[in-house]
Amino acid sequence: MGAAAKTSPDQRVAEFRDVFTRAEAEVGRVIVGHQAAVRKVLTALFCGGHVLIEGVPGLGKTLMVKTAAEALGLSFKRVQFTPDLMPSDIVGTQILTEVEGRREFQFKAGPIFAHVVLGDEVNRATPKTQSALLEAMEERQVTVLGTTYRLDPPFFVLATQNPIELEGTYPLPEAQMDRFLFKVVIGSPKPEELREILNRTTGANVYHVQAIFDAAEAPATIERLKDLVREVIVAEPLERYVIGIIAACTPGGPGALPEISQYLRFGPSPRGAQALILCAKVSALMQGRVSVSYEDVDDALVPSLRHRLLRNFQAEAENVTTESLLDQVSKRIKRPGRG
Amino acid sequence: MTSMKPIAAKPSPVELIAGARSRLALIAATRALIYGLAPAITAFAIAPALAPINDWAGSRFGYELAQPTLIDLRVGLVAAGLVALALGAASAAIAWRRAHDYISAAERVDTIVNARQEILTLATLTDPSSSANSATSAVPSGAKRPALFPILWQRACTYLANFSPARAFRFDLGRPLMRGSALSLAIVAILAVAMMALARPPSPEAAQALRLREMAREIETTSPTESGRALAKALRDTATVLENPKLPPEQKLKLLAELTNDLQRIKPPNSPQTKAPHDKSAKGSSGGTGNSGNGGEGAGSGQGKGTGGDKAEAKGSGTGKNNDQQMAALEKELSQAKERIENESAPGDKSMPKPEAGGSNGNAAAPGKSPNQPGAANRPDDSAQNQRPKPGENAPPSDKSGQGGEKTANDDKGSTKGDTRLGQFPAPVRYERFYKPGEHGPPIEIKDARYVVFRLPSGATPGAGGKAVLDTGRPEASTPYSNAPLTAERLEASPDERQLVPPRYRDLIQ
Repeated sequence: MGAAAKTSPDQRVAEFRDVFTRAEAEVGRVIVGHQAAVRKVLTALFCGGHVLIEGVPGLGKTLMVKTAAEALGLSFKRVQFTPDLMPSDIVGTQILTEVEGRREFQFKAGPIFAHVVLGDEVNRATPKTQSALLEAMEERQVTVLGTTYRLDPPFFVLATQNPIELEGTYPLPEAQMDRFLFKVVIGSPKPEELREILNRTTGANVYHVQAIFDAAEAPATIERLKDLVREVIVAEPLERYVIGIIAACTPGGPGALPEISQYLRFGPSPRGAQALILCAKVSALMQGRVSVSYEDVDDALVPSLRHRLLRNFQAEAENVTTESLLDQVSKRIKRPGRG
Repeated sequence: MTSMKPIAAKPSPVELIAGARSRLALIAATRALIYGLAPAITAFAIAPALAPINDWAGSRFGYELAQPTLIDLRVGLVAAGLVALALGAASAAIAWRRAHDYISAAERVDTIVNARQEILTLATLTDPSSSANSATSAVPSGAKRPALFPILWQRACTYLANFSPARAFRFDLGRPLMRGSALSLAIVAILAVAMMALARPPSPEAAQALRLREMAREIETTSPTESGRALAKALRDTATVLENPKLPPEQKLKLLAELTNDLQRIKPPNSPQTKAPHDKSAKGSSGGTGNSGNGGEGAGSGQGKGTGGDKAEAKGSGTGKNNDQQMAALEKELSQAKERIENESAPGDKSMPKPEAGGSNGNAAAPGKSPNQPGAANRPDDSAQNQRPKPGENAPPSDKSGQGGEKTANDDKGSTKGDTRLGQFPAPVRYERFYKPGEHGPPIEIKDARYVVFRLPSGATPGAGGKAVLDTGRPEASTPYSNAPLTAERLEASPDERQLVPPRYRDLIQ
């Protein structure tokens, strides 16, 4: 807050835009395409949320996360989730060590003690291990043998899961899914993008990511920018708009759309509304505005809510996706100035 | 030496939004007022014109509203206008209150300047009606504002640099006027329907007066001479007198007599003769025969000479064919009016036709006389016989149309002329004309009778005699039958067990 007090609001907004743009550009030098996914990842980072990335293997999910962390000068750890992975493998454990002739337990921190943690194929681990990660995501602290250890901010978890190999996997429970701010779906690259990928990855010249600021000051800078995001103004009509969206997505609720009541079992929780607002704030700041617009909310609608809507059997049988339902909501929800 | 010009202070975003709010409220109130004002003006304009319209309709078509109905309609129109005015004022007040909203105005401004809800956000932070915001300060104080408020303020100023509420929100009154006109048309349509529904058919006096006025118009048109105009004026005065229910019948009769005398005076001596057609030969003849219906016969012929080489000349003579017809029709109308007044002024049952009123009113013969004997009406009238034109002679002056001499005398005065629409069905009198039982005479001729009235016996005549006769010749049924119900044993009998096997099972059973 000290830095924030010294600089003017204009400078803070300009700094945010500069950092965000530079980080996006730096990741874009490594990752071909997926600009929307990269933007959502960075948005979640500045919102203080976590991202669930879904995509088939080989699309560059891990590379994207690693590149983003390197570009921002943050520490990065990767955990490959397997069925035999234990919670202690993530959070760490006490090990017996000999210090000055005495044997004592010392805490050996797990990979979760990093700024950016990539949980690769999170749905392959057992629910017990998943819970360890997800608890750390929510509480931003871990407790090992009665001792609580705080995780250094910024703490940012990106979990990937493979949507096609369901054999021997443990799909994340709905309650766990709700803890992710966004769910980003990465699609296959276009032919031009694939050609560029081949040129970058199979050639002699390999680009090394440049951090946009020092590793020492990166956490503080990012935390300061996260504070700025929270200061973006949301008008009362915008809040009502977001509330209307949540009500429209809640099956059986007073403002629910007929399709929602027909195809959904459960709607989004208040976390969904929080995600919408936070994402809209980052979007507004990215455009130099200090107030949220309806378009900002609409842009955040699908990544913020797609994993919070639980379809019923009929929706699965009729292959009705949550994205199509959210599209209906965004079209039919009333807002001033539309039409 | 340079003069220092004061720099006009640019209005702040808050002032601009407030100005837009006032402008929007004014536009909304005006539009709402127009919705009610247009029908109110229409109603107020029509209300005083209702009486002339009614008079015109009465004089033109004969159908008009009764005076109380007219007053009611006028009051209703004024009331409708007042209600429309009140509704318009009320809706204007409501529209003003609804549109006089700071946030809504900011939203409209935001949409116009495409500020992506930045003006709206600013308005939520500077709403004067909100207790959290200072209503007096145009430039908001930063104490209660978010840290990023100055940026929002600057951006709003940029957006609203060229914004003018008067330019952005114009009084587009086309649509309200259209809708108000539609409401006005609805009022006019409702009024027209109400007038048509409430208009009463003209009374006999009014119809008579209407016809007289029409004739006056025709006379003025066809013969624009001094005498024609005088006659037309006299006809109009007579029509007015006829319509006046307060005047006594004697006065009306007197006026009619004066008018008839005037007519006789005005009428030229050769008027009975039909003028020649207005062709260039200026020669022509007309002839006709009249049939009085019951015994009355008449024949007439006429010749006329005209000098009109063209139509204008014929008109100039003032005695054209049209004039003759007009005079005849006029005399007929006057006589009808006279009869009507006499009927109304006569004591007793006015609905009863008066056999004495006319020489041939179509009534039946007097009681006790032979049915075929000509009655009073059928008796040849000497005077009428004398007036009957003889073949080869000119028609008498009273028969201006050259028709039968008894035409005038055989006008069924006082009767309904077979028209029952007026509800004057003849009373069942003179049924004695039919033969009583046992009475014999020549066959009854009812060929030309307009009404045949029967009186059915109300019961058996006591002491008429007679005896009961058994009708043995009527057809009888050849087979015995009875409609008595079946006996109880039959009803309780077990059903017949021999039932028909359905066709689809027959092969199976076999």
